[in-house]
Amino acid sequence: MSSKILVVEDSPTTRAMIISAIEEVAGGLEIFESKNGFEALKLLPHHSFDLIITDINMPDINGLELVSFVKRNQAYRHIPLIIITTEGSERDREKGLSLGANEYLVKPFNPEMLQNVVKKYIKKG
Amino acid sequence: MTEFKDINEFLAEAEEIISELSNTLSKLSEGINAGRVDPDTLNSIFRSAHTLKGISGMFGFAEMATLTHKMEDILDSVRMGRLPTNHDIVNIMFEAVDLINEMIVAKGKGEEVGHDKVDAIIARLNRIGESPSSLSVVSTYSDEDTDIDKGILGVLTEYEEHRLQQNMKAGNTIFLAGVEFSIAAFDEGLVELTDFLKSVGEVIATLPSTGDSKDTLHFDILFGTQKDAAYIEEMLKGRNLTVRRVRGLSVPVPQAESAGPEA
Repeated sequence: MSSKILVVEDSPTTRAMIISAIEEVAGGLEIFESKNGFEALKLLPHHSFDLIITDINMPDINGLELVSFVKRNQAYRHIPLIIITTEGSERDREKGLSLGANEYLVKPFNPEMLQNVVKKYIKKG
Repeated sequence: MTEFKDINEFLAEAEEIISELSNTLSKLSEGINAGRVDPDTLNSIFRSAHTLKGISGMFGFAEMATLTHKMEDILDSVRMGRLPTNHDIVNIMFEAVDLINEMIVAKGKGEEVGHDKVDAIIARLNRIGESPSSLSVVSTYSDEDTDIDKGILGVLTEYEEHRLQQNMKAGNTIFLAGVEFSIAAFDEGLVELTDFLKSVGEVIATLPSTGDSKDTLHFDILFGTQKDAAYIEEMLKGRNLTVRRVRGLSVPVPQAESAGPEA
């Protein structure tokens, strides 16, 4: 059984690095990517995601607003959420976690560290 | 082991960010000349430096990461009102952008730009960051007086809180517009509405929530404007949305008079 992971990140380079790292975690992962929060909102109803990885500092809606949307929605609130952001303010970090994010990683992230965190949340094949 | 880094991907994005930075810095310079700094332009410049810092750090380009980190620190201080927005800042940012462009071109050829040039501009950026005009603004606030839902306040980033406070400080009226769109086509309608609201004020935050049906999304849009309630209600008449005036956050008191961006 494969896991579906949604990566929300506006930087194409960072997005590609996140995807390269998590592709190594397990075979058969289905990875979807959104370059902003709007794209993520459109993808959510069409897939049953097992994990969402999001940046905070994005145009249109920020990552905190996306976390809040997911965690307040009956259909999505069970989905684990990892925030990966460039060192942000302590208050933004606290807000992310209090809104229900499961993990908060700081860029530049170590691929192995991200892989270990992702392993905690995906289905075991 | 997979190679996580694709230098071509880095170079393409970095070049795009440099081009964007040149445009937005020019726009900021024009805004300073006109005596009106657009917070969105300033925030866009900050975000560009922030992204450059992130990707150069992940590629292990230490000098570029340090330089962009310094730029980001200063730009954060400017957008948060701790440093003034002036031509000195814009000029050094232009110089830094030119140098980063040189560094990117050099990376593409597998070469490096001289350390002295990078160190010199980092030293100048450090001096600006340590300038005595750098203001210490109390960033805590009391949310007791506001009637904005705590669920909304809870998702504002520190920067969005600051913009809300700056709008209050400028005497602007704060409104909360509620609108519902189909999930399939919400972005077009939302962008059109946001552009309209930006033409009469500043959009501070856009917060999505579940709509009335499974096929819709609700958005709360927090915006500040110098226009009065009657004007806003008239301008929004005929649109399928609710709009109400709200009381914003109390304004923190800076330790010196702020010369930061105005709403």
